[in-house]
Amino acid sequence: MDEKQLIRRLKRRDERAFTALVVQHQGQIYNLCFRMLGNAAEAEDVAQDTFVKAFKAIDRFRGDSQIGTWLYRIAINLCKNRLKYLGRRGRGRTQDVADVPEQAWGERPPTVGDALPRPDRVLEGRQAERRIQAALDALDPEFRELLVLRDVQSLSYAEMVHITGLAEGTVKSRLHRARNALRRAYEALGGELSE
Amino acid sequence: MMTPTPTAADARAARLTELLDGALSDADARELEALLAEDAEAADELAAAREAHDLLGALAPKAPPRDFVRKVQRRLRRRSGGRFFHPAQSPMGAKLSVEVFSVIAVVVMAACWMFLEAERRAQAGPGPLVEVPAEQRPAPKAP
Repeated sequence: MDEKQLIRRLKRRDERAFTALVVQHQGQIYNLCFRMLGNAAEAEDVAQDTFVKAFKAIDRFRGDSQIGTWLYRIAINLCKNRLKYLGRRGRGRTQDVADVPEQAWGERPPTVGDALPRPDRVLEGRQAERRIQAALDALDPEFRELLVLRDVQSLSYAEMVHITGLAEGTVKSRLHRARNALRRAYEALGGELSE
Repeated sequence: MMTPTPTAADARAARLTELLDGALSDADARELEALLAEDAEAADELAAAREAHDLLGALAPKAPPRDFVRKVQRRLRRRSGGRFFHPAQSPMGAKLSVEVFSVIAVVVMAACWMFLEAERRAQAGPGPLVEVPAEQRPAPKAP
C-alpha cells in the first residue's frame, strides 16, 4: 500500500489502514519517545497516544510532508507536554534505563548457536548507554528534541524544520549548542569518551 | 515560534554543524577546516560536538513491546467510543458495555423464570375445590 492510498483509507476510518500505519512506524515513534523521556513506560504511553491522536486528526493532515514526519511532530509535542507534566510532579525519570527489561530494549533473546557477548562488555555497554541517556535527560527539552531528531533518528534538516517550526539556520546553530551541552553533561556524569 | 535574528555566533555554530554533518561542499569544508586550524576554541567546540554525535549514534534503537499494536488498537477503540471503525470490520461488532449486558441478562433471566412458572401452574391444573356447606349453597330455582 503506497502512502497516498494509505492516507485515503485512513481518512475513510479503515481499521486495517490504521494497523498498517502503526506497524510501519511503531519502531521509530517508540524509539523517539524513549530517548525523549528516558523511560520505557512513559515512552510506550506517549507512543500509543501519538497514533491515537494522529488517527483522530487524520482529516487535518494536508499531505505537505510525509506521514512519518507528521507523526514525529505529534510525538515530539506529546513528549514535551509529558516532560512538563512530569516536571511539575517532580518526576524527571521514573525508571532507570538499566531496569528496562530486555524485550523493551529491542534485543531478541539469545538462541542456541549465537555467539554470546562477554558479560563485562554487556555491562560496560549498558553503563555507557545509561550515562548517555542520563546526559540527554539533563538537557533542556528543546536541545534534547534536536539531538534525538538528528543524531538518534537521523532526520534531514528539512524534516527537522517541518517538525520543530524553526528556521533551518536556527536548527543548525542550536544543534551545535545542543551537542556541546550533551558532551558537557556526559562528562559531568563521569563518562569517559572512547577513542 | 519567533526565531531571533541570527548573530555571528549563530552563523558560526550553524557552519560547524554543516561541517560535522557533511553538508558542505568539499571546497567549503576545506576553507572552514583551514579557519579552524587557527581558531582553537572553534576547533574544540567542533570536537565536542563530534563526540556527542558519535555517542548518540552508538545508541541501539529501542523496539516497542511485542503487543504494542494490539494495545494501540484497544486504546483507539476505547477512546473513540465506537465512532471509528465500521462495525462490519470488527469481529466483535459494536461492543456492549458491562452495564447494558448485565441489564439484558437480568431481563432475560426474569422472562425465563416467569415463563417456567406459568408452565408449572398450567401443568398443576386448577387448585383444590373448597367444599361449600349446604346452607351456604344457593337455593335451586323453582321450575
